[in-house]
Amino acid sequence: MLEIAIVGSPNCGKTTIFNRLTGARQRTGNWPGVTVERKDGRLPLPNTTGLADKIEVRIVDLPGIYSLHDDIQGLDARVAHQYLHNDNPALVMVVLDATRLSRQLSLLPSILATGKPVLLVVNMLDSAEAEGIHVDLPTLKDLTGLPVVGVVGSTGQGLDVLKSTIASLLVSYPAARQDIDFETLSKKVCRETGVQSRTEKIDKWLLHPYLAFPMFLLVMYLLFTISVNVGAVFIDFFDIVLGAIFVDGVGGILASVNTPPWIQAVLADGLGGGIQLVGTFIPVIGCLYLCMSVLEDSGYLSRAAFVIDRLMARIGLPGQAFIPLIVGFGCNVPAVMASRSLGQVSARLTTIFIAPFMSCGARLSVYVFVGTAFFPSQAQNAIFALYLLGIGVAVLSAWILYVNSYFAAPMALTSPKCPLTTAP
Amino acid sequence: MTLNQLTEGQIGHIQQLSDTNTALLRQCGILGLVPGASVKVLRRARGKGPMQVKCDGTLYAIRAEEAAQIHMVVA
Repeated sequence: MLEIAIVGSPNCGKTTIFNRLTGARQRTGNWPGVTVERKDGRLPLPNTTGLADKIEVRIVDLPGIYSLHDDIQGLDARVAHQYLHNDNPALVMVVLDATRLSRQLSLLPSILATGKPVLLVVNMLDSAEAEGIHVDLPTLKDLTGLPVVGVVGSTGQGLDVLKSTIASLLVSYPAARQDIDFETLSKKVCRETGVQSRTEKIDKWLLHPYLAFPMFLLVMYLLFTISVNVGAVFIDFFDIVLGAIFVDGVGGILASVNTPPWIQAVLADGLGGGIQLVGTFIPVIGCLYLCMSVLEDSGYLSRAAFVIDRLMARIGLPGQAFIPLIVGFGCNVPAVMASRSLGQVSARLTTIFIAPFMSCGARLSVYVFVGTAFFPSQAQNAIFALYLLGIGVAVLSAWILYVNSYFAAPMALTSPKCPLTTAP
Repeated sequence: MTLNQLTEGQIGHIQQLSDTNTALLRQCGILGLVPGASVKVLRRARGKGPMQVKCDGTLYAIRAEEAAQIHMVVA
């Protein structure tokens, strides 16, 4: 089956287009050897060529990257680089965010250098208009000599054109121009319409010198309140259903075939009870991630990183390191995975090191148990104190790592003094 | 004059980046903060906090200490 790759910078709407194209026909896995998620899916193409009855291609969603060099973006860029060089995609779809077109085009030369056929997909044309930017697609097509399709991923506008363009490009691909002038390209393609940018209007409040921090605390409060309260609605459902299947169901089946009571106890009450307990964590953690993804799509998380940067700098971390730490309140495993987006090795390692101190959802039930057993009248305060203790230990650990620059000097770790050359 | 010395609303062109910090140099290069680029300071957080700048239609957040390594020419 022919393969088509989707590349683009983070948040350019790549995955939305991928989902639009593949629908439910997709699967996820890992890129070999790394914890970077690999997504691919099948796309049935409209029959415009008359050659085959039905063509189907495999679409691979590459990680979002700003460049193909892996020293800044880490594993994501390396995965994309290796895929483009070693695998043989029939077509590379470069998704460009129309609101940031000039910057996005900087990825293009290194992708063209791989010699693969490229299709430019300009996404978020509606947002660009709202931001006061007009993108001239025919000019982009003329100046680059590459096929160009404009789409709005969120509404699906232009997707049919995209599909038929893919279909025709797989049959014949136009000769690419060799003389693309990247220096002036974006200036000729983008034109500011003079409307005040929507983002700048919102940022005036979100990044307000005095209101930004209270607003950040409010958003975090809402994040946890909503996810806990909405999640709690579904806890009973998971508790009862899983209990009925794994505890009562399994126990009943085992009793009916006359297994010894100790096997029934181990399988139904032990294993089944364990699954039932873990299952009750699913709704709250699921709701937390749902809310996080809404926040991420809204662009607030990068504003929050800006707001909290000054505090994070004191423990030697960049502002965006707070995102994996918040994720850690849901579950520590995705928190560690989320820290891969941090460019600096020292920041990445420190974040991975302290993320497990964030009290995850599963620990809450232990806290409730300990709190009610030892502090019956003050249980909620004891539980809150345990959360604060975890954050405190995380901050303290990061600070200790920072002042001792334990992770900060990777060069010193990789190039120890050689005793042979320094010996007298 | 360096980027962190610019006031809110001021526009300048990047003259050069300090070459002692190679990580910053490379990251700025990829993000488009290169000599000649026009940068507008949108806002600064209070105290030692980061600043938000606009370059080529894109918004960036940069810490004051890193901004101090970017030399600017104010038009």
